[in-house]
Amino acid sequence: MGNVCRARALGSLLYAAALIAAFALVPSLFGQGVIGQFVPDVGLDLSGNWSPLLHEDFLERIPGPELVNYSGLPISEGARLWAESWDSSRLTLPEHQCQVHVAPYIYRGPLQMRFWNEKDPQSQKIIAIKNYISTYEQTRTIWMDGRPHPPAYAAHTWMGFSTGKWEGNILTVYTTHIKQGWVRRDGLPESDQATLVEHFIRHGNHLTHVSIVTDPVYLTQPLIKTQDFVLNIQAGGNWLYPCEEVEEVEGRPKGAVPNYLPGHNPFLTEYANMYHLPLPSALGGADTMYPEYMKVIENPAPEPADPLAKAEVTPRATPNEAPNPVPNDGEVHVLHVQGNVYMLVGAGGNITLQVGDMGVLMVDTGLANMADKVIAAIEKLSPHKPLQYIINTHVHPDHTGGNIKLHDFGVTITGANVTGDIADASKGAAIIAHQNVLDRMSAPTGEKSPFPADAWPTDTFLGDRKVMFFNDEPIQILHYKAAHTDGDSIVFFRHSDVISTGDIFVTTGYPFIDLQRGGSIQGEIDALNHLLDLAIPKHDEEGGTYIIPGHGRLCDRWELIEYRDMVTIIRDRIQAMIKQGKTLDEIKASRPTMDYDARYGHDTGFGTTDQFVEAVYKSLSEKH
Amino acid sequence: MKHKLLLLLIAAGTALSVPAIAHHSFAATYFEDKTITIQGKLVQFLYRNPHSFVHVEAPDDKGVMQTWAVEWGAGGQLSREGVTRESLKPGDVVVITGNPGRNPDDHRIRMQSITRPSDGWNWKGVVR
Repeated sequence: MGNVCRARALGSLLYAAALIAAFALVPSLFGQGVIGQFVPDVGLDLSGNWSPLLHEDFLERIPGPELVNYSGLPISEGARLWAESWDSSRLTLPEHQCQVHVAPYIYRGPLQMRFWNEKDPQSQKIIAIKNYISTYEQTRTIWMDGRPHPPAYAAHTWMGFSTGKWEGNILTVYTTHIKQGWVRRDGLPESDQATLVEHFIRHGNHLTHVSIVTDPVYLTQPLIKTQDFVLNIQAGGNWLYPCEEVEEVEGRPKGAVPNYLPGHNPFLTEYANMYHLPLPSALGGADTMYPEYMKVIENPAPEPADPLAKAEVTPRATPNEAPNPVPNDGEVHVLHVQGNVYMLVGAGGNITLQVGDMGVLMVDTGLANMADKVIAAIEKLSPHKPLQYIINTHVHPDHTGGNIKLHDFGVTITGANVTGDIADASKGAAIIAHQNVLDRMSAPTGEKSPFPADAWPTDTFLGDRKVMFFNDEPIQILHYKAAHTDGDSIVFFRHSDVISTGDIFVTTGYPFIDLQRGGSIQGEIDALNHLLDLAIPKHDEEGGTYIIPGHGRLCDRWELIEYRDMVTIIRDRIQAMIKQGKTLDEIKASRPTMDYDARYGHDTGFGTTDQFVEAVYKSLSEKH
Repeated sequence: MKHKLLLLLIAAGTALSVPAIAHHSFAATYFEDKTITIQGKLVQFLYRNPHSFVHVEAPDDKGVMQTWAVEWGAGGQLSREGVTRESLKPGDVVVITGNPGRNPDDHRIRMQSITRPSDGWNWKGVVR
């Protein structure tokens, strides 16, 4: 190299160094160094409109996946049965028509999305990154301010609750509280216990989205997917995706849930045959995710004589204990639902409080030993106005155990014409319940009563409803004749738009059909369907009417739908087996609840899976 | 540069084509390799999103009168293709061809074409 060349090279290096130095100075000149105290946020900015690259997995994303194509997904045995039972006709039910893609799946949708930052107006620090996704008109909020996730007993949403942080140039997001949805649109479920880790990686005008789903119910390994987007600087495009439910299929019996009985899915082998694949590869599982599985496809094991045999249930591999979102810490926890209504958890059965200018109305009183803590919670929410009404949804002691103390804690304010004339008119809160609850708690004179007289309802009704107007709100108490028990009532707060269901609906297990106290499986299903009629979602099966279950977390109509579907499908299976002449033991051995056991099953304690199956069997056989 | 241009074209194309995709999978819902034709009286035209529906009273292959639910395009797709809320009226006799639904009890069809013989009005296309 000559001197001239060396000089040019040196000059180029100096020029480059000067440029680098100048660019390096720019942030300090225009950042915290010169103009005020502004501190730029760490990480890149995702703001702008982004369009999906639909050609990635086009056939699955746009026309849609084939039935029984579970290849490459680490699904559990329960997920497989769930999907094989799924009849696509279920999506014609009005309550299923506007089911949204859950957060891990929605980025596979067809429409564009937009990111923007929400900043504190004073500090200019990012509070949240917002993400509007046109598909189903969903808005995600990714909190960047370090706030904690809500408690496990809070409501779930399609997009869940997300917190994020920048890791270099990668936005990493952690999401919980996602509704039950699907991992593939041919029936493969994703449970409400799933959590999501995402990485948003921007390369100039290109955005890569990595999603990692962990689902202890329906996945045996994390499911990792990527999809890409490009920055769209064009204005316009479609930003809306309205959905309204209609009657697509006329004449269907009320409460029918289309499903295939185990082993009766007529399309089980269609996909595998179409692509000349061995059936096990189409049925998915973690091993089908890996390249090594190609050896199995190339050298498949001999097909059994009956291909449906592979879909039959197998003995339970692991014990089930359904998750309970309520902390077992001996404390009562309060969650504001909406309007005048609060949910108290931790005292046994869930307690509902309606609080206002006139005082407090409560639904159920929890366990006896938690009554003092319940009273403390009420005093905190309503320090100046008394408890006036207690409503018992049913007879069980985890919902009526606090009756005596709560009754004594409250008052009954009667009309002026009788105040002072009746000795106990202002002593103790009224306890309202259906007459059957009183009948179950009391006993004729001279006989031993199962509950102390001080715990008995003071104000009963015989028909199917009682109405009240309290705290500026109309309240309906609706009785179902034979559901969880024969004394069930639900309480509908019409202004706050909240329903307290008692144990007709729980999120912690299968319904407990108390046959000895007049419960029945058909009454349970009828009650769930009636609750669905009462509840109205705000947008695409989310929000609107909130549901406080007898046990478990806060819900809206979507959770009721999934629960109703589950109970109905299991009823259908057991009913079919009874028609085939199978015994209770044979039915139990066939595991008719297998696809739901990891979410709702209990092998020990009160309300086991076997007890549920037995109750359904006896209720349908009328052998109790 | 060519790469950036390609990305921009893809982005623009994606934004403008606006596929009105059903939340369900067509492959999972209909027999895409089969077609069925019905002729009957229109009962209801639901011009809506994410998909429109036409309900038609027509006999099945056994001659039994059924109410068929025929899934059509989104309101946006149909309006771009010249179909409006007023295009069809209750009582119109129509001939419809499409993919039959997988559940025969639903009497469901994914529209491929619709014709009104009384005046020759028709639509043919792909429901997305």
